[in-house]
Amino acid sequence: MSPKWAMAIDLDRCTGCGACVVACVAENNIPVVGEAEVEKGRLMQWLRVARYWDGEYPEAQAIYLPVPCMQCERAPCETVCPVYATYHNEDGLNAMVYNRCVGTRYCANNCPYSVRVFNWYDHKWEKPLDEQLSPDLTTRSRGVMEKCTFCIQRIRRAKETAAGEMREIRDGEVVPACVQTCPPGALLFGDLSDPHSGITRKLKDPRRFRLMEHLGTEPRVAYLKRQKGAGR
Amino acid sequence: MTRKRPPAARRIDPLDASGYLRDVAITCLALTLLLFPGAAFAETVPQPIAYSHKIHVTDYKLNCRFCHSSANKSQYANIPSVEKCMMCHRSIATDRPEVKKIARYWNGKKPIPWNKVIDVPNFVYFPHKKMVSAGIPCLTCHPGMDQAGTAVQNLEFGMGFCMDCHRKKKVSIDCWTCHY
Repeated sequence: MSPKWAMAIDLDRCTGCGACVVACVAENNIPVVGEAEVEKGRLMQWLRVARYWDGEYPEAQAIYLPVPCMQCERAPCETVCPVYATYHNEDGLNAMVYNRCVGTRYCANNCPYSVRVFNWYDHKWEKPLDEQLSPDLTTRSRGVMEKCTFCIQRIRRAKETAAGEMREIRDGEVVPACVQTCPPGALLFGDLSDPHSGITRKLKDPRRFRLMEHLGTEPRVAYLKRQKGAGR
Repeated sequence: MTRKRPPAARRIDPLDASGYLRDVAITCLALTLLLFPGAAFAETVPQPIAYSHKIHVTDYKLNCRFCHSSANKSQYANIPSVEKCMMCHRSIATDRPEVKKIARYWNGKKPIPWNKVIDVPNFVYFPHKKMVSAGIPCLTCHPGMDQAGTAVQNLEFGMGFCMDCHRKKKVSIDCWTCHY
């Protein structure tokens, strides 16, 4: 049976430290574009930590919301791509194929979560920074859309290891970079098709909600609501 | 070689390179080779040592994975280290000029600066170990390597070449299997 990868983000645990973003940038060969480009809204991060303020000063509290690609089951980005560069794969993931992308940016414009980023330039990693590039995945070129892949290279590696050992992938074997690095353990990743997996149990929590659920995009990323005043 | 006509009852499968079509193919290849010697092999890449795959693989029957030992363990079929060469060439054929070159690298503690011959684009993930574990012979994608001197690439690795085999073997043809 093909897996149904999903992520749970526990907002009660998230401290907004941004370690997930750093891990994502390091893992996925994401270029750092610099201040001037960020001002133009061309930040390349696949995962952002959105910050909201709750209440008025002196009682104001910051709320942090990590937003990766939601891997929607009914993804608005897929229907608008004229070249079929983004599509749903057999694992139910919203795949992005760089070598097929022609850069219309329709997908990013149709994404309600604004998680797709575009390569406006060919990005260079000056020596010795090129040494940190991961050989497991592409460095994208100019004119190509990109987004969070749930660390597909890690999913592939786990699949290969499991196939080599003639077994199914175990729960917890696939760990995306953001999940691996999260210091308070706010992020959890796993297979929803396995009734005993950690993620299936975690998502039975009544605090569960999904972003912009009314749009009917059926996101694979679910959040666990922050409880007011609980322990803070 | 004479061209035989196929028996009337026999169906000619254009994908089956046996019988009639094979004869035609061999005749064409022989003619091409006669007219353009060297056409059979793509442009040869200059290498620091005139290594011969033919001597090692065809004449002395070494398994490909003796030298390319990570082909079944990793994404890459590695280029052997100087140490691997010296395992044998410390005592075998030490008087040959090309083998002496290896010894020079070995004594100078320097790797041999082989030039890359077979290169797939950055956006292709090609794990050798999956091919080896599926039992695909090395010569399927590296035809003529057993008869070559230094490494050659006789096939153009277009996506169609990969897809033909993936479809035939009913393995994943999902884009994300190889492109991410």
